[in-house]
Amino acid sequence: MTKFLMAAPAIFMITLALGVILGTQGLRFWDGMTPGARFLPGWLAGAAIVLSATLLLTQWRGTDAGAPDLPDAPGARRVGATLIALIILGLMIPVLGMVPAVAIFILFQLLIVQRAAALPSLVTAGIISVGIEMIFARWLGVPLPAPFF
Amino acid sequence: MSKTLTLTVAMALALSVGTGVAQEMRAPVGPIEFTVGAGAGGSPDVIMRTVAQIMNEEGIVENPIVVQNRSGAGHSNAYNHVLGIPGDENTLLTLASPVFTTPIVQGTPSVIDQITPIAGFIQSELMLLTTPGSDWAGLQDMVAFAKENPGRVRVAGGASGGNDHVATGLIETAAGITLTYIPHESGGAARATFLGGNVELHFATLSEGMEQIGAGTAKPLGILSAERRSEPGVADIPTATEQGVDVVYTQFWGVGGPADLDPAVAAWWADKFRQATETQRWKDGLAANLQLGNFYALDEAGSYFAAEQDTFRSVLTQIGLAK
Amino acid sequence: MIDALMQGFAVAFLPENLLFIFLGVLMGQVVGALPGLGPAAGMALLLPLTFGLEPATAIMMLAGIMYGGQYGGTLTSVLINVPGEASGVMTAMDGHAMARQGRAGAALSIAAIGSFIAGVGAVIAVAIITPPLASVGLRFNAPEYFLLALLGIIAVGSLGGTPIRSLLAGVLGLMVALVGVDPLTGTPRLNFGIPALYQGIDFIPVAIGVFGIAEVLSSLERTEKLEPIRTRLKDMWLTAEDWTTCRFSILRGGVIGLFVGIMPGAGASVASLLSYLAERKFSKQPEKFGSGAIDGVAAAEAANNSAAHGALIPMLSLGIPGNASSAVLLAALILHGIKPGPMLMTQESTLVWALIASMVLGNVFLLIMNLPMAPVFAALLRIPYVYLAPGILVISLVGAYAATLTMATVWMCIFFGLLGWVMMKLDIPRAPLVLALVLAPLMETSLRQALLLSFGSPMIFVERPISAVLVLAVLFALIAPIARLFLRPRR
Repeated sequence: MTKFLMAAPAIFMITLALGVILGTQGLRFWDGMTPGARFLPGWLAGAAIVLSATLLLTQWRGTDAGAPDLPDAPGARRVGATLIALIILGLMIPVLGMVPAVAIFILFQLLIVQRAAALPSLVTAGIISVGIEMIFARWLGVPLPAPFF
Repeated sequence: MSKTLTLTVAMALALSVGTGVAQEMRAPVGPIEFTVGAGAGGSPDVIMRTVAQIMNEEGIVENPIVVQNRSGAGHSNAYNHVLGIPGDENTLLTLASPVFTTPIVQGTPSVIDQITPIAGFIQSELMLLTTPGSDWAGLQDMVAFAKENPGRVRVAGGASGGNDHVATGLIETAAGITLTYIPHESGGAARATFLGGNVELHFATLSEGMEQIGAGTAKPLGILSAERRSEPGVADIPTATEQGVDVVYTQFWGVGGPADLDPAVAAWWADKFRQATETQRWKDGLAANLQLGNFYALDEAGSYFAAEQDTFRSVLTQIGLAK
Repeated sequence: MIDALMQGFAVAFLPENLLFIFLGVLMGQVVGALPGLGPAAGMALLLPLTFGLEPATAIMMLAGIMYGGQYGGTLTSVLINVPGEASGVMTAMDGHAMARQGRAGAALSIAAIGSFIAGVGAVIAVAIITPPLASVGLRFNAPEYFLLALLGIIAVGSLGGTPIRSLLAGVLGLMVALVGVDPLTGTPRLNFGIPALYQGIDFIPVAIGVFGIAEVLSSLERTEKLEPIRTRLKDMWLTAEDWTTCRFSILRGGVIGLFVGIMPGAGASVASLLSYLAERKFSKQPEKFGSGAIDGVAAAEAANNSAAHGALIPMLSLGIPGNASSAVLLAALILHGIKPGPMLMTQESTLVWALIASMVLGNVFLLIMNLPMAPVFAALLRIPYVYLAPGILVISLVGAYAATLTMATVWMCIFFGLLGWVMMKLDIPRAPLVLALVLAPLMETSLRQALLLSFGSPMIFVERPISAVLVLAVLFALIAPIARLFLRPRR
């Protein structure tokens, strides 16, 4: 498992490089007097493949100095929950409006993910959402998304 | 050529429709957003902020007006926002050339055909400049050189498919020459390349151009307008048409409302823009910046914009950018 | 000229003007400290507040927001590792490392002092040598920008971690920059027909995600109760040793920043990167760079502040804005009925000199505000991280939204937050990604512009004197590490 994770960056970059090569098909590498739209992508894909191969080689020979630092299971669960909460936040902003969505996110994050005490969590959510309303909406006049209903 | 024609048609329309029946008018309620697709500091931004300031400070419009920069390459952030709120009475879209050209270049549906046209109210002619040490006395000298040396005359301009690029394309067709157009990320960057003495040609608005000429950093070759200006200094600069290169190309700005905007609200706005552009403050600004104040409202604005869109489409197709 | 400057000070010292300069720098400080909103966006949002003021007062206040924003941006870089704009990336690298070691106060203090010295130095340069400096700036065009960007990209490989990992991260950043349209011709490229990607991927959501959100995610993994970073009062202040380490860093950073700032196309991010790298060469402890080197913070901050001031030189003398914030300043001039351009210095000399004088005063205000406040700001880190974490997440997202007003930006922040977290876990450095993203369009566009200028001849890079020097620098940067490999003494 760790072996695979060690190799993950190189594999990811090689895949990305192939994706760039495929995705820029039809664009010109050279365009009259100058490089075309595919020039930089081409070079980058090449560089990514060479660098990734070198990284794999050093890992295979055991001379790579990189040190992955993987979370434990509860840690990974918390990160996962936060990421899902962020995605739900993104979906809720247009529906609930920026400020209410943000307040709910903070409460979820504090009470459920981090199991913080109730009162300080409520205070934190209050201060931050009021602060965002005052600074962004009132002072700077940014049209934050309003509730849909 | 087609450009001259469409402009003439638009002007004729403007004159004939000018005195219509009094349209019913209704004011929108609450604060107003002028959506601008350019960042703060771009010409459309400066124009809309000036109008908004005049409207509010002279009491022409009581609703508070906020100029909102929804910037992003090609103004698509701004127009997609406005297209997404059909019937909304509190938002106006600023019309600048990218609103016309971005859909053509990206192959998306025309914006102009969907929005409610309100007014076209300001235009700015373009001046073709060359380096101060150049041997060219006029446009014909440049054309002669370019005919002998195809592609050897370089133009530093703004973004690909922008006003400078369109003007370059029109000159190439009219004079039967090939130029090398070098796009830049902004008009300022293009000017730096020109002032650094790296290229032969550069486009500027009349006021920018006169500043450069006054500072001795540029020499005019011609103005791409139908007739000469009357102001001292500018009056000495011949038009391109006079010099046998039949190109008339003017930058212009206007406003439109979202699709399905109540005609009474659109008529109210058109009237407010007319009032704002009739103030002394606005006229002074136009005079100081050597800009034009031809006014087109509602339907005449619609046909004016449609004609401009046709020009853009034909030039961008010719340059090979249209999708 | 001394007379003119004195007259400028006389205008700036009018009570009303003093008040608005102060308000300007204060607002700049606040706006700059909001992640996502840089000085330029802040100036645009606050521009309407200046209507109704005298033109000179308005311009002084707006300029105050501009350089006040530079000081404010340092706060987020150091305290929560979110660089508010590209020029803050280098500050975040060492400044945040210092904060984790409990030295946030010292990092903020040296940043304020460095910015102050470099800022005032740059203002003096603006005052004395604007016209000649502007013409130096004009000697930098596409060929020089290409080589400068290339130099930056090569240097990125030496930032943090092993060179291969840094270079891979740099390549990833360059690939992110490919998305959108070809910057020169506008040809759609790798945007998969998604409208939100047509305009490409901006720096702000990437920086917020890769630095800020990733940092918070990583902090959430730890099972033990998160201790707030201990900041003892005695660690807040600079020691005599800190000052000795940083004196010349500030000087060098300031000079590099000024020169990069006057190039209309380069900007503060290139300035802070170059001066950081130069400083690592000069430093007695280069190994500390990346893990809390105070001279790294000093040099980067000095460079970005003097570049921000230096960008005014092409604006005032040529009417060419050198960066986004000077473009807003230019718009403000026009809105107040003043015509910018090459004649500005002569036709509006009172205003220009008042602006210059006001920048000296504004920098003094900022120093007075920031030095005693540094420990107070640093004390924010005493709030238990549990409560800080969700706050950092949402304020970053709202800031990113405010800068563009589209939800797409928020989604990009979240995506790059995940990417940044994975990069942290797999030990891939993050700074190269962000810097490469900033340098990519400059590199790609200017290479092609240069070859258009020369009708395809690569000789343009060696025929121009400055460009030829830069070619040598690029060759040296490429060859030196290889040569070192071979010349390493054998054991």
